[in-house]
Amino acid sequence: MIHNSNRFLVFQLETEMYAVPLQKVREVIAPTDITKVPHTPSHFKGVINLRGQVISVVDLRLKFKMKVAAEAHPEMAIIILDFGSLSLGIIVDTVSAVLGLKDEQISPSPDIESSISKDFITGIARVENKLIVILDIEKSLNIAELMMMRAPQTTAKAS
Amino acid sequence: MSDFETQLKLTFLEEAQELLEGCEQSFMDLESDSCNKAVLTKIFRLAHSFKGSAGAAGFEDLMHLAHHLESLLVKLTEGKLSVSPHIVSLLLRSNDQLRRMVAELRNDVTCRIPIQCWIDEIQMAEEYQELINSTPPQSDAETKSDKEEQAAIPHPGFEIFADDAPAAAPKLALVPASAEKIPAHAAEESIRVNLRRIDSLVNDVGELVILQTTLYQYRTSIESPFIQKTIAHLEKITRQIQDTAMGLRLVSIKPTFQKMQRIVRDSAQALDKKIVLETHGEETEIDKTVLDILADPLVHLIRNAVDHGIETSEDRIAAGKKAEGLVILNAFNQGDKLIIEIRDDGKGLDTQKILAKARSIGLVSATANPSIHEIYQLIFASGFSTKEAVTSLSGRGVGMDVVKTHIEQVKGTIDIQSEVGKGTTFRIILPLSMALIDGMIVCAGGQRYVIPITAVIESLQPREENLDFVTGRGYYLNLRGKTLPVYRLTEMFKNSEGPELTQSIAIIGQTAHGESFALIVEDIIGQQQIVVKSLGPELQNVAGLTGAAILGDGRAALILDIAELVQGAVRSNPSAVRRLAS
Repeated sequence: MIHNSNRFLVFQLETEMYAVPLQKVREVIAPTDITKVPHTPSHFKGVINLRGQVISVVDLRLKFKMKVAAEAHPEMAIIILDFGSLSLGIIVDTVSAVLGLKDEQISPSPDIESSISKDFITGIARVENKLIVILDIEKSLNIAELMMMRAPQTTAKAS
Repeated sequence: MSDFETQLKLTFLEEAQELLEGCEQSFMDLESDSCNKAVLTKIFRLAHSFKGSAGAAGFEDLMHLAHHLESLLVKLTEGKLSVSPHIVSLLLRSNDQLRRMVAELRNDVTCRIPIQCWIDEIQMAEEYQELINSTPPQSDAETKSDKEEQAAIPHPGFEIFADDAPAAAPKLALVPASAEKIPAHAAEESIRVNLRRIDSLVNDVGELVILQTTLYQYRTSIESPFIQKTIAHLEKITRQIQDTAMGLRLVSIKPTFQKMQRIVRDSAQALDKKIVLETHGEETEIDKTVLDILADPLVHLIRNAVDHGIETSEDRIAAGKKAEGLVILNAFNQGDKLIIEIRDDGKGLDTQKILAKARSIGLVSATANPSIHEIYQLIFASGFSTKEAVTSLSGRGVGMDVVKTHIEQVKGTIDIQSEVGKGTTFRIILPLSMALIDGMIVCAGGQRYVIPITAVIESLQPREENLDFVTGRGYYLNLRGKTLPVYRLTEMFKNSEGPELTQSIAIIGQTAHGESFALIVEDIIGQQQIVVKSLGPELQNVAGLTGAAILGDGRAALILDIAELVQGAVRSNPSAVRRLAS
């Protein structure tokens, strides 16, 4: 039986397939106007208005240090993730599907060729001959670090 | 546990918290007027109804403790026991214990808290008093002395709690208390509404106001006079709804002030000082969130006044003052500000001692000669505490800096006035509303930003003859004889370079130190009321940003704190930032 905790949202970055637990996903929206925020890292794209709530958006490609930033195209989407007190949007190339995976379908992360660090991966699933990398999205986005984000000025002021 | 059961329990806990807060004042009344039957009866009724509802909700521990308190209260109302300070203390501590239990149960409805030591103590107090009250011919003299001894030595369990009590009080204030909304006039009826619903309403009303503002601005482009009139009406109604909605978040400061009575009483007792707390302006209303954040700083400032401000009775008499110290807590509105004052008639701040201490820990260099005002501000520095012996009440040196950060978190400031031998006044100045501000919308580097109108002194288009370039320092603007440093917003944000200075707009503002500056933007788009949306925790620490606003076209714009922005720029690299590309 597939529990809710075993359901994943699958999306694509360049040619690779990734998945995040569906429980963490609040909604998926089409790209919208993003307001830049000064003194933030380059993968931090800015803030958007989501029905009156201001939410920060991160470009996952840049975060994972993939070659180029996502070019705007019609399939692009922003996945709004929910981490309790923090909601965050991630920009991905395409949202593919919602997938239910049985525990035995997920193998612990082997040494595979991937653009991202092994620490960010909780497991690998093979579905229809495709590899899906299941992300530890909290770690990959470094939620703890985001909570501490500081402007260069503040650091200068303190010293 | 069924949903129904859980709901029942949660509802009870919310009510219980309110009930217990209400109780506290009655206990204090009882202490000042121990013969007051009406107060006793009131407390008895509260305990009785608490016991009943606790039982109904299935909280047996709470019910048992309440039951024992109730039987103690019966004896007090019937005159079988007399109200002694010991009894009042016991009642207050039991009340604290109940509140702690309620708070913990709100976190986890299934948790159990041991209460036997409390029941023992209550019973002991009853029996002890009965023995004293009853006429001598008691058969067993041994029992009597035994029990007296027991009563004299506090129960080990309660000793721990008694030590904890003052420290636990501020913690309790942090418990999300949706039950705290108390109307200004007790006679007015009220209903309890979930805070989240109010926030959602306030949020939506904010959107409504924004849309209405846009509609109103463009009403002249509509031909039909009827629709134009309707839009004008809608404008009026929208403002009314907005006023009402903004008022929903306001709560009376009274419960917070009442808690302070208790804190002064306990702290003064622990320090063996005689101190009276006077409160004024209890009916003043304040934003619920702001009040929650200020609860801890207020407790700290009050404790500080009791511990460090007010002298011992002997010292006071020697100084020709009344033996009894006075602490005044005052809240009032002044213009668009809310002011809370904590005043004591104690010894005042010793500037020499503060300065010496600051020098010894390296806060101030030996050669610097700070002004009195600057010296006062030193006590807010982290790790600063002049009291040599650390007491259990205050003086750990981790308080005042936290006080300041909390106040700054709600966009407030704190001022100190002090006179040696006469006393000290701490003055917290808060903006009335954090949720809605008048904003100036400006444009720079292709983006729009909001600057609160209150931060703008004036705006003008700089003229060639008023601009001076100083190599290595950048441009300066000559404004009616005053020379102001010029900052360019786009450059501070490392965006593109803007147009010529003479094609731009200079916003004149002032830093917290009172230095004026000119901030260059490309254009002023307009002025409108905006709803302040908080940024996520990931952006809380970015200097110069206070939040975001949703503009008429649905895009988010950042709200700037221009004073903070400019101040940060000065310190990071003056020559680089002041240099302006021409």
